[in-house]
Amino acid sequence: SMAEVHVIGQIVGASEFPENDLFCKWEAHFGPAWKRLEGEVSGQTQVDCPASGEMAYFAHPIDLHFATRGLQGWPKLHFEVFHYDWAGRSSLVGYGFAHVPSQPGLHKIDCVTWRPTGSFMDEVSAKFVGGGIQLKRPDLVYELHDRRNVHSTAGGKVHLELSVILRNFDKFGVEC
Amino acid sequence: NFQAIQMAAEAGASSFMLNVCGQIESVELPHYDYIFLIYQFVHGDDWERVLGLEEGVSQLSSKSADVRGLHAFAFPVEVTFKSTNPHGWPQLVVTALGTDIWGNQVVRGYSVCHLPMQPGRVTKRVPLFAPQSSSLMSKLQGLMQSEHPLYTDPKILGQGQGRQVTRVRSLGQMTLNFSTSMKNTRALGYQLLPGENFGAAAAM
Repeated sequence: SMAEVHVIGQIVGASEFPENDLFCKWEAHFGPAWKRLEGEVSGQTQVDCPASGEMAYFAHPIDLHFATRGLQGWPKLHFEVFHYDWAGRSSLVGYGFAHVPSQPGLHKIDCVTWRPTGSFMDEVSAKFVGGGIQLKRPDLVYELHDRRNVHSTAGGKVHLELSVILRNFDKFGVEC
Repeated sequence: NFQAIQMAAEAGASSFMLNVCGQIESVELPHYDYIFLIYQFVHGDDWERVLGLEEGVSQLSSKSADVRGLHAFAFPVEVTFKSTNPHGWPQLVVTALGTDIWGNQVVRGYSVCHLPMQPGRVTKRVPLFAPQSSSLMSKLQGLMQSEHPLYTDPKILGQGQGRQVTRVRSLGQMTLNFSTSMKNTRALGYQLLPGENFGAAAAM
């Protein structure tokens, strides 16, 4: 019998962004020792414009079931928050990622985000014309790459509520 | 204890049970005076509801006259599920309904949350949101013809696909509490809480 991990919960919402009308794209990444048995590895949430208050709510379900042969490449979730404007255009307002917790139980996670900072002209034009700049290679957000040439500005936070259920980890002598 | 776990495992327990007792305590929807709730469960194919209602309908509530503007329901939610797999863990989808000035039933908001995945008692605050028209034109038409956007099947809120580019407006909160117990999850090797180390069971 293999060691299994269930990650079940929600992307609750996003806060502290200057814009309303936000949605979030998400994707799960994991190493070669891991195999996805059930559940979608990516998705895109609804667009929320809150009537009042700071938080845009997504209430988006995540339900993933993995089998694993090793601890390396523990799954992580990466997020891209977009602003959906009145004309139906999307602009990127934050990149972030979070490791799936290794401890069983309920976890409330606040995931910080950043957006790439453009040149002075880019920033001015974005204010008037809309549209932010994006990374050419989004894996920079969650992989162990050298980031020295990237200049970023803080975005808001993505809020997650995830429960982790482990199976058979004790049989392999693993403590989480 | 270890002996009970071993006995259950040897008896060939292949499914576990989830028992949830709780209530929808209250709703804050300050815009609306009359609200009632309908709840449903969404779950995966490996799950079977063995006890409890498929759909619950609450009383009609009037907002409290004081500064809270609260809708108090104290509406019981009691359900037992049997499953062979945590995937597809049940979610509670609640639709809040009211009536518009012409007397038509109208959706005021939806909420969705998973039933707890750990034994114990928990209080949750869950946001309510209402779908919006996709364009200004359809919004104006909707207002004139008294058609409000709604989901044809609220169970779509339990899915990870199909909600992209739907516009919603979050406009309230629902408070719920749940007391949760499980049976046979340990016998099947599941660890739901930190610090549970079955130790001697590892020798199997």
